[in-house]
Amino acid sequence: MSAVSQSDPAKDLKNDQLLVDRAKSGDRHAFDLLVLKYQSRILSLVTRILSNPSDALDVVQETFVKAYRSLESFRGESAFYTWLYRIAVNTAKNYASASAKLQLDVSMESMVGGTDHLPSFQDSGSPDQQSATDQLQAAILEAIEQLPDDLCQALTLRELEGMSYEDIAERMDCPIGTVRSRIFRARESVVNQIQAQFPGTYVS
Amino acid sequence: MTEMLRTALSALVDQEASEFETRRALEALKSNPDLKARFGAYQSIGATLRGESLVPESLLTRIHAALDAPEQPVSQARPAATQSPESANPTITFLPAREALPSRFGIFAGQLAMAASIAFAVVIGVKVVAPVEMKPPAVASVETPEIIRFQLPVQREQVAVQTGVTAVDESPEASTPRLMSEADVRRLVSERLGQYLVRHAENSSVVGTQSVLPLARIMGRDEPIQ
Repeated sequence: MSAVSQSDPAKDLKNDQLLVDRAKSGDRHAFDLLVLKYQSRILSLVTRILSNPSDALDVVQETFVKAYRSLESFRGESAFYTWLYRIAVNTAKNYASASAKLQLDVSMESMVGGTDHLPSFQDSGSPDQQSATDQLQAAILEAIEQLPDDLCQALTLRELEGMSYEDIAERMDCPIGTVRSRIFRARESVVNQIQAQFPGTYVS
Repeated sequence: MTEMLRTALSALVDQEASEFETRRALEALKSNPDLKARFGAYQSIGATLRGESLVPESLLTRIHAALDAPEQPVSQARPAATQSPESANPTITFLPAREALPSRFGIFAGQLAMAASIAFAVVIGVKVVAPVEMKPPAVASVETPEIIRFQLPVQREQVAVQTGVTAVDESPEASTPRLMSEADVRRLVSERLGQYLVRHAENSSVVGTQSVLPLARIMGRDEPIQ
């Protein structure tokens, strides 16, 4: 193979479109899968616009709420993530401009009056929560490093390189079904290790 | 939770699930909520490898709460979205230009109209207060400007009084009206107009209306009417 292709866009569209269609018909579980699928990418995107983690999380939440309420307007002409991306950027920029205006208003009022009207900042990013997230990420990376080579390679080719199962099969010289199984077993191994290390994680 | 279902979920994370697998997984989600957590776990492994931020598991609960609540923004600081996300444009519009322009233009037009009406009133007022028929002096220069011919507010007798020449003067020159030079006429007109302007300015300050009178006064005082 001369060039490695990324995952098939037509298949991406088909998978997401099916979930969107189900969500449109009122299936909240289908929409939940879309949230779980894209929440990390959206949060990383929003964090580039808003530096405050708490604000970024609020915007991510608002993005998905808007998306759900506007699902009817999504006609599938673009990928679902592209559509979601636009909502997230718009929401984050509006939030940033509104927050800047609010801060300006508050600072001007504080020059005149007292401080009773000042907003509380108790919702700002919790260090404990950030620390737990860092520990979880470190544990995931450690678990991946301990995977057998074939599982680790299949997983990283998929997650880091974004290769399709077909391309991974060609690269690893094995059937597609084997790739599918290796990636699944790699994930299961990591999840089981994390659950053993952090009881209660990944439990609904 | 069967291994086959989890395999389907893993494939769904990678966009590699068939339509049948997707439908089956969605059906299984209704009766087995752990599948959803498993799907999130698979997703978080990829996010960690790509260096993306991990989202707290509580986010999904928050989204459900927001969707079940009446429609309102999450944060009071955030303005409500008015655009359709399908046509969303990732640019910020701070102030609608079509709304801002008429207000500024209206203020300017109002000031201009007020200034024009006051200037018109001043001109008319000068004519009404001094409706004296003016005759050009006999020895006036031929090229007397139009404005002097129409607005000269003095008669010869008044000029005589103002200049201190009494009517009972016995001198031979007193028996005949005294003709003033053009320079004297201009000076008198300028003084009298100045009085009008000062009086008008005082009235304007009492009434509290805006006026372009200061400008007119400055123009008139600094550059006497030619």
